[in-house]
Amino acid sequence: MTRGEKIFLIGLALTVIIVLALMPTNAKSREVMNLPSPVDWASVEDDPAQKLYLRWLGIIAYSGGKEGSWIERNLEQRFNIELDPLFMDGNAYERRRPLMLVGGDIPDVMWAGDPLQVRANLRNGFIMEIPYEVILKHAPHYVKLVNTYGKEAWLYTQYQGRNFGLPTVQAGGNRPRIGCWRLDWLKRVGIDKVPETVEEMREALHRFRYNDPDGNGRQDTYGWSPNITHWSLIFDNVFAAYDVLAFDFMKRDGKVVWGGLLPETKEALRELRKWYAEDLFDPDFVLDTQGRQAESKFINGRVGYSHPVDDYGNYDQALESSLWGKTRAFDPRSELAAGPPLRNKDGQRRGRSWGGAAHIIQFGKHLEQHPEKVIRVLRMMDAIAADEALYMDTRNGKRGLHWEYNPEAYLGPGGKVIKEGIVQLPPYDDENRIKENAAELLGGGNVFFFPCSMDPLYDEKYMSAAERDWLEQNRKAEWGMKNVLGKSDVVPSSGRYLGDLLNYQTTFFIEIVIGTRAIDEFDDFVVEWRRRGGDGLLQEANEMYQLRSAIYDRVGVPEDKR
Amino acid sequence: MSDEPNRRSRWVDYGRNLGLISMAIPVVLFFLVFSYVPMTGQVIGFKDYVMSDGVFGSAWVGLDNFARLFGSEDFPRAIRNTLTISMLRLCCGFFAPVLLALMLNEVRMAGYKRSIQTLTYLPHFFSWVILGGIFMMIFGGGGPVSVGAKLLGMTPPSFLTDDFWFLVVLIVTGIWQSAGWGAIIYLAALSGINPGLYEAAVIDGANRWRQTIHITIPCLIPTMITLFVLSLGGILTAGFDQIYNLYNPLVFDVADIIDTYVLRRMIGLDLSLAAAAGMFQGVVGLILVVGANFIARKISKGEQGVW
Repeated sequence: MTRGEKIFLIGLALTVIIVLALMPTNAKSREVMNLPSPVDWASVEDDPAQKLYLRWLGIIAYSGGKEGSWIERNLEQRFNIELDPLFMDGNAYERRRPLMLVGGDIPDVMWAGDPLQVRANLRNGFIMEIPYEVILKHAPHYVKLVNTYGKEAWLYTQYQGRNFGLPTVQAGGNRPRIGCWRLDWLKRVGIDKVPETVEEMREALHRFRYNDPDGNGRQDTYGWSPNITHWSLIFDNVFAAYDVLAFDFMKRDGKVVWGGLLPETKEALRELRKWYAEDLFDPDFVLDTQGRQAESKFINGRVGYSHPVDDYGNYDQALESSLWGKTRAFDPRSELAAGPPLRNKDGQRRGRSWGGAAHIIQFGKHLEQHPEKVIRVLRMMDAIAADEALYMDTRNGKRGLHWEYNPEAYLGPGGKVIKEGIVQLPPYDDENRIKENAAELLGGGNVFFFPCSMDPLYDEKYMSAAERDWLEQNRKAEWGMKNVLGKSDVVPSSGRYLGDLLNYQTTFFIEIVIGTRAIDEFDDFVVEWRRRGGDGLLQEANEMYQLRSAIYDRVGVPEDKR
Repeated sequence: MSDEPNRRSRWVDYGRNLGLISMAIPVVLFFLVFSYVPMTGQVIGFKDYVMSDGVFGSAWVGLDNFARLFGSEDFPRAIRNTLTISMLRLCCGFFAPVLLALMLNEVRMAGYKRSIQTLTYLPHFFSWVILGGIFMMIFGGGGPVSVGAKLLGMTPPSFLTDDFWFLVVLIVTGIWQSAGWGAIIYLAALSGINPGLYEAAVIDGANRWRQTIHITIPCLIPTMITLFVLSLGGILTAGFDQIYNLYNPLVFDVADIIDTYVLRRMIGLDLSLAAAAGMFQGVVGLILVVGANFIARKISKGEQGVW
């Protein structure tokens, strides 16, 4: 390259950058979000005799799903549709979906996990508006379900007072998350009941550290390895006992506040500092950012308390793969006990719950040309919500082929105990076969073709009595505390500030707990949190709270349920 | 260039090398399609990118995205951290493969040499997901390093949660993982040194040390300069995999780099902001590479440098 050529190239590059930076900016850019919907819903007719095609991106828990499952065919026949399911895992959803959407391949029905994503899809012109009236008209049973178990989800689908999707419900999410204790350890250190208060918990953890609960003569055990993999898990069980959700919006004296700024949070941190100073936590808990060790340390007897442990299946003594089974493999003396939420100063049990508001079903923008598809889907959702048999078919597959309900446990062939409740029938008792069929036989997850979870809709009927009792004893829904807005990212500026603020708070709080910061630096945190965009979030959150009431009026959430 | 005979001879040249040219076509196409055409997408850094409007239909916003980037609380810190970590890596890690290669070069037992070489470059093939887990165990509070220090009556620092010690662990494990692999290039360069030079030096009475100083190292310098210039291009990418798998909330202040920052921002599909950050990384990298090459050529009076 000659000198002249070099100068030419550098000049060219600079010119390009300057030209790009100086391109005339049109400030109104494109307010996709504010365009009126072109659909005249009053005149839309959905003729049931007309077969409709639906490309369906459901929840991302069924990456191994296969097209043509019994559930899919059942829905296709019943509603005269042709489903084209798109099965993705989290990775494909994050990476492949954006490319798909940019390339113009927008599914008719599209699942989204968070409100933030709805706004991104809206901004990018991928999804369409569905007025509240349309949903109310075609899916009244479904609306009732949302209003009863997860009304906050109406905030997830709204933008500036208009609605852009169908909220989904995970009724089990109303139950608080709980921990699990090594009952044999408690007994061995002279404690005869599962701790119920902060003081009792501290006493138990203290004895786990210093009274040799595993009886090996060495001081090699700790109380607890707190899980810090996600903000929602960070000491949430202890914060709740002080009546705060430290990483959520809460309601105090008629206003929405950020739990992490409240004086109770400072008191909780003061207590947790003591625990750390007394060496009650596994010293490496901070390093476990991927969550690989919190459970394994409990299983192999390094700590005697684990949180969260929510699932009844963990206590299945007959199963080697349950938490009980795994713990016993390390120490045959192991016994486990659920640790229901701690009591607050008034003696009430309190624990964080996600609430029943779950996710969002969106409709592709191109359906503005085919609004009858939207109506067909709404009718389908409504039928499933209203019809117990269809609900069970859509969730679990065909009774007698995929699953059966046993009123009582009994001894099956070969002396195998056949459990009470819903059991999978072979060959569908294999996890992979279940997922291939896009079914969710056990557990509380969402279903691919219908966005609601099982309990508590039909739990009276299909859950085993033992599990029902266990839930009522340990995870009563009324003990749950939830974010007053459902999820914090419903506030408009959350995309810009919330992520950084949550990180900042996590670091700051852990530093207070492990003593690298003084407890009074908490007051600096409060000031700094507000300065770094928190004030704006709070203001928006209060506006959202007002909006919430307006939406509840429109969708008919009863006064006593608000 | 414009005179007739010259142009004709050039076409004749092309005709003669038709076979070679046809073989190069797939490679040229590959880079055009996968590297150069996508580069035009960088314009979204100057746009308010709306996917349904496409890259060219979206509205221009000038330097808004850059203003947003540098106006944020965390991005300037991320740049600082990235630079710190990269500089430390360069200062402490650049000569490690050279040293390793020189030492391996002096080993006379072929079997021993080969097994050492294999052992040292093996870590290169492990993913940081696994290595991260291993190092957390080794350097954790209950790990062998801390326990050993305690047995010797010392108070071990918290290697992974203290800002300073975290950087030390980061750099040292980084060197451990990459030095063996990096040494391969130098070993190749060493084997290319004309044996006649050593023979002449032996005749002149040079011992092994003298040979290393006066023959081996000078012969390695062009390779070192090339690698140095190239590594400057990556100075704003401080090794995402390693950091992502080792960091924790307590070292955020020193470990949050540009890549982890961008990853957080991508969740909201804010591609314009990500493109702006990527362009910033690219432009700074280009300036550094061109600058370093310029200096290398100046110092060596035009003899060395990548181009």
